[in-house]
Amino acid sequence: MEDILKQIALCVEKGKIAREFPHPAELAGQDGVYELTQRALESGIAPQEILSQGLIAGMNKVGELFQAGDVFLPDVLVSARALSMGMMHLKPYFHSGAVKHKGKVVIGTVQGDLHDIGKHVVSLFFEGGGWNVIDIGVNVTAQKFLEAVAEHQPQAIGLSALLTTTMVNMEPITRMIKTTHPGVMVILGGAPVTQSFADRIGADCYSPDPQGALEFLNKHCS
Amino acid sequence: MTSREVLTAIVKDKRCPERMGLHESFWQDTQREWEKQGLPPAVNILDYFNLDVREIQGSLFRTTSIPVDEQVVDEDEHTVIKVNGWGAKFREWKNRPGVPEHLSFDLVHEDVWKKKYRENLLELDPRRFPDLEKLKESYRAGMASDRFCVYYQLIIFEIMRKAMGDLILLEAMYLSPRWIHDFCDIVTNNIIIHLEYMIREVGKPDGIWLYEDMGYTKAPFVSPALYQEFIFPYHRRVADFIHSYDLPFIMHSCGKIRPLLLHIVEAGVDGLQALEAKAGQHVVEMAEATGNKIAFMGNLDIRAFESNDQKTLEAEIVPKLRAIKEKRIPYVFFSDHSIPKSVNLETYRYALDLHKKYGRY
Repeated sequence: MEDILKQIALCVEKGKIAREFPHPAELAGQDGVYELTQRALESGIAPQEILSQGLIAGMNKVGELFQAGDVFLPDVLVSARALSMGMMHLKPYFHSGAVKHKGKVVIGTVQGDLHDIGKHVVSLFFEGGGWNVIDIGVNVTAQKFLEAVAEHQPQAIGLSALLTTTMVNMEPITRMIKTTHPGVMVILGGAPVTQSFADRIGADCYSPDPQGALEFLNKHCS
Repeated sequence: MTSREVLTAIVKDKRCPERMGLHESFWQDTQREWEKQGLPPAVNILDYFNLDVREIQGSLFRTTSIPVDEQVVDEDEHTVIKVNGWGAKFREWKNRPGVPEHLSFDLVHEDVWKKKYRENLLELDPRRFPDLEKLKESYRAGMASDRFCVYYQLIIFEIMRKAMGDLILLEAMYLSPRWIHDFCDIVTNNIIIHLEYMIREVGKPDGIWLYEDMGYTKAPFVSPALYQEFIFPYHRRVADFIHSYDLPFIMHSCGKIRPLLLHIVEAGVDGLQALEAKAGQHVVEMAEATGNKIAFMGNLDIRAFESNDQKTLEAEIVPKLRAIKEKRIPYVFFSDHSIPKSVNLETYRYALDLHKKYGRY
């Protein structure tokens, strides 16, 4: 049992989606996450174990490598694609309650900013870490964040901004969330954001990379 | 020395003439803001500040497969949705700059590339130049001046991003390598065919400036290995073409590209611009790593400009200029970004004073 979970984790890490994909060269012709997850379920391994010890473990490794600068965005994207193949098999178990997310995160790019790739990559890491991500898009007002928090009751919200001119819009959102939902953690990310800025506006976490934000979520919100 | 002589010495010959070069780009709303702070109305801002480089207007030919300008397909009070000649849909702000939102892409698979887009790029198509007469006029005026005049254009990685978007492109490098190679090969040839046409029909400029955003704050979008496999051969081909006309190849890239630097030099790039400081890059370290085989433009941290504090600006600029002078680095004074309206006119003027005082070799 342990072997197949390790294989799933390795395939997520290496971006081995399914047998038919030649990438990566060293795993060409072998089963990928798609086949291995199916086989693991057929052999009776609990879906929750497949998720945590296979899929999430693999994505976590990618996160560590990405944080260290040892892998790059294409590696992350292909790993996330591989992970999604495994998730396809687990979907019915999420519906039945046999598999549970660690919690919910509402994520969006703040008002004034249309930039979406950073938010997308962070979402991939959060999902790959076992979190249910509600992406409310770009150019999101404080009011829309508030409505999303009221509707989805997340443990945390993630705010993204690309520009110094839009970063300032993180402050009213953070203030409103902290006033109305003090238990909801506020996580900031984006090129111009710094720890001192996050401290000044009262956010709970700033991370320069997605893995740091995921580690904060796992430690403080689950 | 004229602007042309200074920039030619720095970028083409990698020499240090009497002074460091001087150039800048400005966000579109900066000039309006500065007019409120005392800038004379409607001046040519490059002439007003005596900056060295001029982009020859009209040289940005259409590189999309279908040679049309972006079409507006929807809009609201603040934003417009546009479709480009690759069938890609973006949302942009109406009255201010910013990175667009990627909405959808037509070019999602090699089959679509082959059926709809590849064929259009195989031959010279003068429709890619919207107004050749205006381009000729702009060229004549530029070359009659003492400024260093460049044709400017997007190049391979940037064109791929506009065609298929970051996510499809970056995944496809692993999952559809044959497609990406074919795309790069065809697009590179198309760029060369049209640059050659422009040089033949309009004239030879002082340099060619190509835009290629390959990084974000933390890292390059691709690893050095992927750069070497997918981008390097085509940068090299473009560089060889440009050098065949005895012209320098200047490349712009935002973000952290330090891990790609030695490959970029090997590809034949003569001048590298932007060198974002907040991405942890330092012009002196980069110059030392390359042995002055390439000229640098930029690296002056925009956050120091935005502080609008003269001491902060001095602390950013003066030590860099002193080190550049001491180590004889071929260099053009330039922020690591472009100047937004949050930078005061007085701050920018002070930066120019620092260039005047410390920017001589």
